[in-house]
Amino acid sequence: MGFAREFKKGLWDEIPVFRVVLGMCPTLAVTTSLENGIGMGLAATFVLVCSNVAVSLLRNTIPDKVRIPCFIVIAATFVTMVDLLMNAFTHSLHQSLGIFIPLIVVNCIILGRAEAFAARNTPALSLADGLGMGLGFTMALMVVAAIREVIGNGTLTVWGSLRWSVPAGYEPTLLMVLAPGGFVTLGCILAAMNSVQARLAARAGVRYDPPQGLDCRHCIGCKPEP
Amino acid sequence: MKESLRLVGVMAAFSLVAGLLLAITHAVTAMPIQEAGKRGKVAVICRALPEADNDPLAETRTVATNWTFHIGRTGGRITGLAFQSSSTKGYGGRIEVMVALSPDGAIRSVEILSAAKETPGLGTKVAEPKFLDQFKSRSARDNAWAKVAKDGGAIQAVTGATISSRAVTEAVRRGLDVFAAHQGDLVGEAVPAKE
Repeated sequence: MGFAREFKKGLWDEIPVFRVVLGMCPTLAVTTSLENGIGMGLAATFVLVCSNVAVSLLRNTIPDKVRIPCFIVIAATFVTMVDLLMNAFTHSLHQSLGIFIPLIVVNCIILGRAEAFAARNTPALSLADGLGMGLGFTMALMVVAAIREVIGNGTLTVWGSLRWSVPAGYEPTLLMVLAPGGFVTLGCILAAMNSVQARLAARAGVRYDPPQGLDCRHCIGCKPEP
Repeated sequence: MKESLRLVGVMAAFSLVAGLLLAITHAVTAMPIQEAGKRGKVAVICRALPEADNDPLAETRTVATNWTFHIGRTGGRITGLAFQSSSTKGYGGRIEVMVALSPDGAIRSVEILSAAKETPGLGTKVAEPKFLDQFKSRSARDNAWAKVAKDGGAIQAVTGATISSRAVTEAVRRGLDVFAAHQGDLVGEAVPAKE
């Protein structure tokens, strides 16, 4: 029961990018093509799952005073391993993601989940949490990336299994694959998510709090899960 | 004091385990990474010198201290050379190119190896044949042509990406200058292939 619940919350209720508004840097930077989005999402998921399980296993060993450095060492170790493994076995993807793989270390989602969840829960639940949050993050990246790739480049490609391009005559809107396109896409999606969730909440008859960036009321960095 | 020692001990233990894990991963991936890099390079050189029946990756000559030319032979005779060059004047930093020449110094092909930091959709268009084909069959000997049209040369810059186009042209020209100055050393002597 608990396992499924912790897994599911990352996919919708607390989907990292759209709901909790964490992990913005990779969301804006690498989502110029669907392939990059998937690659980044899966790499982050791997790190998140590993670091969550490791933090959870060691949660009684790590002294409270040095927990943040310990979490960072754990995250950095797994990130470096992913970096090396991707360089070895998915060389071209590694080249196109470049600096953003090492930067997973400072992805707030990793440290956020370690601090807010894994440090207080059992390894099994932390695994579910990491998996859910990671896949939620991947889904979010895929949505943003797919929109930007279609409008900005006129294509949609996934390593040979999917090669689609818009009908001839459509002139790709370059802006969408440049930095402003990332902000525009993300803004529109956040607005749509809020609208949908507000309506769902109204139907269920409960109060709805929209995410308001990273203010204290909504940041999960230092607040235990409700 | 005792407390700090304990903290130091825990941190040290963490770092030790982390270091160990990384050492193992590195040991496992070192070979595949090297091979992946080499495969990439082999593919590029094969595209640059498709007719070579020797191993152009192994047969190189270095002139002007750090310019390495890969030499392609067919039946022992030099039929093509390829070199890698770069320019730091791209719009987003470094641009790398691979240029293939015939022994008389005519350009056979130019390929962009990395222009990832150029503006997507504008600067990255320098990697398209429409731009690169302009270099074909031009000569290394007299390279006044090797500038974008705006600077008085013969290369039409990609619309909206003059800086990227200029950087590619510069990278090619630098290599051509070296080739022109050392053509004798590179192709002049009729030494048979070593391998």
